[in-house]
Amino acid sequence: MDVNNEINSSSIPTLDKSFEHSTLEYLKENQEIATDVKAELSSIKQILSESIIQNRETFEEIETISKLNEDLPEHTSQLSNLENISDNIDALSNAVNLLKTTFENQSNSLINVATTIPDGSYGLEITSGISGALVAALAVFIFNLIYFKNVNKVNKEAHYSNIALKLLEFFESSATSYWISERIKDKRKKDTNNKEMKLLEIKIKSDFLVLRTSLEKFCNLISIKNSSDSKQILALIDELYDLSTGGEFESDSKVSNPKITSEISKLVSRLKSILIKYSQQIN
Amino acid sequence: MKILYIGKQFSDDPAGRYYTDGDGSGEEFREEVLRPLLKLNKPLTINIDENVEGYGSSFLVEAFGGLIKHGYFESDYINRVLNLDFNDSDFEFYARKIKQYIKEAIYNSEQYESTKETAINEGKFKGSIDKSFLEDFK
Repeated sequence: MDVNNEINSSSIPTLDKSFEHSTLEYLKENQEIATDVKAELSSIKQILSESIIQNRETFEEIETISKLNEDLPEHTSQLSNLENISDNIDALSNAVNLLKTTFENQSNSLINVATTIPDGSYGLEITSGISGALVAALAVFIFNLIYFKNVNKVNKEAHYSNIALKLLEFFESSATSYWISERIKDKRKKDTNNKEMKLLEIKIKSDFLVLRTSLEKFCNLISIKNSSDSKQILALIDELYDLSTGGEFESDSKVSNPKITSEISKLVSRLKSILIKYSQQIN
Repeated sequence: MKILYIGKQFSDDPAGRYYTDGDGSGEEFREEVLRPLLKLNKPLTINIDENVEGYGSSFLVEAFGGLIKHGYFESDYINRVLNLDFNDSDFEFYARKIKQYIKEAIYNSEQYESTKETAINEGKFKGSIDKSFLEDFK
């Protein structure tokens, strides 16, 4: 409503001066009041406008808070996962520490053996290197064990073979000397050899005993993989015994017998040819 | 059961085939020890390693193989009653050879002709071995 239009003077036809004056005073006051009201209304309008803005901001803040509230459970759950991760990290750290302690304890003894560690090696590489060295050492140990077992076996065979070859030489010498000679016991003859013949008989019997024992031990060593050689040696040693101590052996009337001498020599040669195969030693 | 010790009771050096080869021959052992004892039809154990260094095959063939060769006993009978005893494993060889000679001998394949008289006449056999131990086996 426009107050100025309502108090227009032209609308009042006749009034005395006092009334006019009071009326003017009244109008003036009303006008002042109107002005004040107007000013206050303007002020209220301003306040209302500001209030609206503030309300809007407040509303936006409330909305923001509401939205944050909605996200809160999600954040909370995320917070829980973070705690789990933290726990896992702790457990992992403990496990690493335990491994480290174990490794340090075990490697103390190995450090004494492993005198050189490559520069710039890391823990894992050192562990890998030590493990590799241990496996290699074990492999070398097993290889050496098998190798030297075989070497010992071969050398044992060669040892008995060489002994048998030596004994064969002694035996052949005694046996051929005996069988090629005639026993001359008649004291009326100058070249009596009864003592020499008796000595050869004793040597043949005793040498044969040692020879047979060593050959039987040798045959026991080779019998598994070379049974044919073993059987042949035992057959030949039997034949050698029958031949060299049979017939007129230890007889007073023994004559020279080149045939038996030759057969003994041939038997000894056959035995030697078998034994020579086994006589090579490994150093 | 009594045991016959060759090395202690017969000779510590049993050697030779015939009487003519001297005392302690295979023929003497067969004729004067083995044959009488085996005739008793009792089990006989002979120790072959005590006090003996070894044997020549001439002695063993004549002593043991001769029992069959001259028709005194069959090999089955000898195998049944004769037992060879030894402690030294080296003498296993001689035991095996004795069994071989008994097995290989052909029964009654040769007429026996003693060489004892010739040996005595030639002074080669002196009869120095005392065989009174045989009485203990009867």
